[in-house]
Amino acid sequence: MPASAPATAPPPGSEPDVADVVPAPVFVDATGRRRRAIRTTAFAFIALVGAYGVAVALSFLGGPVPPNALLPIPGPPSAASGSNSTGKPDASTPHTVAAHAGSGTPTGTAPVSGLTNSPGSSQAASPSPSPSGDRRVPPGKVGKSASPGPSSGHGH
Amino acid sequence: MAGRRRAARAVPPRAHWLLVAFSLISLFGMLLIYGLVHHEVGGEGSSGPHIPVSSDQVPAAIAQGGPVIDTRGGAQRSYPALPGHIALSFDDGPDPQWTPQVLAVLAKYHVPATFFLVGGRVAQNPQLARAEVAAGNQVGIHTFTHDDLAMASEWRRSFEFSQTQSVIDAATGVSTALLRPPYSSEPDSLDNADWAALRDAGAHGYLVVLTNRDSEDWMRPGVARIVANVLPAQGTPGLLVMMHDAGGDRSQTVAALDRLIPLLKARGYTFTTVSGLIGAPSPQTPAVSSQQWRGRVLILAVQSSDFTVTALGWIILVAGVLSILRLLLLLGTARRHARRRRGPWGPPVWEPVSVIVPAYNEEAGIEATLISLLDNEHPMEIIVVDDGSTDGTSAIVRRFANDGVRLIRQPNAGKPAALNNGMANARGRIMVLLDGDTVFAPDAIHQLVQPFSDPGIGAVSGNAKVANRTGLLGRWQHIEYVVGFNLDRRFYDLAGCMPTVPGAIGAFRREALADVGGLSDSTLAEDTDLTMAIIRAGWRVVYAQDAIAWTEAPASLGQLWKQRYRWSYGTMQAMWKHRRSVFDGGGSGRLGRRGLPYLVLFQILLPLLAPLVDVFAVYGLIFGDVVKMTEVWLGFLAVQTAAGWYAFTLDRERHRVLWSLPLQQFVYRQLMYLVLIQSAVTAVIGTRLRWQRMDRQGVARALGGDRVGGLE
Repeated sequence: MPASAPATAPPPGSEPDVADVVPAPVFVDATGRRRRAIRTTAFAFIALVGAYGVAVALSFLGGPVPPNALLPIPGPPSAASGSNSTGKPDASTPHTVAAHAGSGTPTGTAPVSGLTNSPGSSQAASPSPSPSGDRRVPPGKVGKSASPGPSSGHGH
Repeated sequence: MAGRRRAARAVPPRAHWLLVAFSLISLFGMLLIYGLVHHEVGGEGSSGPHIPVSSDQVPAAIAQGGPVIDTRGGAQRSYPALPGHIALSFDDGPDPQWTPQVLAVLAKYHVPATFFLVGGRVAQNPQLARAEVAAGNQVGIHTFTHDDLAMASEWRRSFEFSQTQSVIDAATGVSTALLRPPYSSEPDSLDNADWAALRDAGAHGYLVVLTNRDSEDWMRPGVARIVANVLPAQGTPGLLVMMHDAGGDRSQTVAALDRLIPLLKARGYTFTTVSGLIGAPSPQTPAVSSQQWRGRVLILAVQSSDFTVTALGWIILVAGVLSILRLLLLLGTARRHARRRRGPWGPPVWEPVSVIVPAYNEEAGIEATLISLLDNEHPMEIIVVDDGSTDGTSAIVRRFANDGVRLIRQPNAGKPAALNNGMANARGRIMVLLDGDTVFAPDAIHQLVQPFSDPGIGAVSGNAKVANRTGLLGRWQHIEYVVGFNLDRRFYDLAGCMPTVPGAIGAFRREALADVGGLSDSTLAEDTDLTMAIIRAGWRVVYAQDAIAWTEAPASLGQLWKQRYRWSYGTMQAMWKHRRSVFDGGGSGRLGRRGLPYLVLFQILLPLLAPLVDVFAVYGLIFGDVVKMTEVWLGFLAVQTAAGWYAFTLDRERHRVLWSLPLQQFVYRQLMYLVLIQSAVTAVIGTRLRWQRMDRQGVARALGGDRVGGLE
């Protein structure tokens, strides 16, 4: 761009007599120094941004990051102790549910830390919404579960 | 073979295309990240919660159980809230406006809470997440993009968990095992799809936190309503309260919180975090360094994308507004110009002129050129300067010797030298300069010299038109000449800052040429250089729109590229050469302060932004609102077409060809900005350029020649 090129032009208003002198073409850097400097800068820029891009890509596409906490599951006694005070045993007793028949509970599912992706688990467990007449939708469910997404209405 | 120009040495640079492609791809990547965080990219559940499906596979004990569900290691347990305890939880943050207010209320009453964070927002505001943890609150993940996990693919879920965990690791220094799925509610609202997602979350090591007390604050039902939603009717059952500190106006939430905490405390409630509510140890552990680094890169990526996309969005908006303003300015000045120039310039000028035709291998077109000149009534001498042609140019010119056409032959020295040579041998006080492939209208010379009745006018630009208007390329160039160049010239004329008298048709006063020492070959646009020099010498340069010449336009993309490369590079050279006119007074200052900024803005800077516009457009077409994009585009097109229509009317051209205007956006426009990039790079790095010359086909003769007889 003109603004960054050094003045190779003759001073304006003093154009030399065409017959004698040939002025140096505007912008031309016969030494090639400018070209080399800019080329170096450009490649450095590409390398820098490229490394950054690779890092970003790795960050986005990298494997799962499991939580570190092996959060101990509180034992039944502690939870059960609460049930006495509320008088609502149903709500306060920890429930241990037997593996749901037919739902294909992932037997090979991850250890507690959940390091593996257990490819079969969600697929097997999530029923296809299509079959038979099993479209029981609890009343009022839509309103209940509909909390707003961050995108609703307000961008930020 | 003998090069036409001395400067024929190096080839044009190429490596910068790598840089350009790289930059545009990076920009597209940033747009993708921006879109992901701002919920434009990613489809799937990001548009909202799914329509509930059957819930027959959700174990009854889970549906009827407590709000914290553990499916880790294949377990299916839920945990109730300890009676007398309350855990406040806030979803969707952090938000720069509301999160600090929520934190302030919590600090005021010295109570902890649990924040379920959206990863993208953490990346935007990592300091808020840090403040939450520093104040003794717990954090959990709420996905990266607030995606509906039930509808997400397995890969997507893993992505949502991992990215959020990473940025929380980086922002807060702790890793968390808590997860709340977006759009979740109480356990009895779970359907089969939710349940599958929950079990997947467990497989990833997360404890799923739902709620047993939805404040429904997101509906903004009023402060009193939110308070009533949370307060239990009687007793002190354990409460896991769901509220929101982002996603809209949360002033009601903040106000309700300020009322609720004292009320609940008065009832004897103990405020705790989610893990405290179920009697579990902290779900937070110190973050692993490698994960923190991953999160830092993500934060940097999100923030740099936010900044870049926002800044470029504004720049493009400003550019669009400027483009519209320019068109309005051009239409306004063209209208004024057309009115002002309706009458004669003054007493008719019949002074004999010297017509100088530089010719290098012009055997295809020179005959038509000379015939059209001889058809002109104006008294003249015609001098053809053969610049060392290797074809039959001279032989053709010699046949016109009886008509008074003089031939001067010189060794190949370039067009500026040929013109200077011709002028040195000319007798007239007015020089008409044209290219050897241009055909003049019968009254072109007479029209062209009329402005010289004003002694202050040093040069006159004629109206160059495209002779070969066949094919899309010919039509596009025809439109560009009529709309772009000629509207611009009317503006320059009124503003007193004409930067270019085209080499195809222009007239010069001998004194003006002598003042500037003739033509210089220090730039590749000797016509622009000459015109600017003449203005700087104190002469006025005007536009005679009725002096019409037809010129042969490049017929292939390759030739067009070469021509425009020379034009734009040469124009940059001339502008740089005459840059000091910015500080001059009088006419030279008008050139420097009106003409040059106009050229820099509309011929260099805005066209250089065009590739960015294209990247944004491609992104918008794939991920954005196609209807809105199309509307904006059609709006621009409508303004352009209106301007084009008016320009065609002013120039008395047939409007029909304007149908190809929308298509100009697709090949022509890209070619124009790519050639500009090439020119700018060449200028910056200082490479020598060889003269880019097109091969003449003699089309002006075939088409323009017919029109000479048919028009006017």
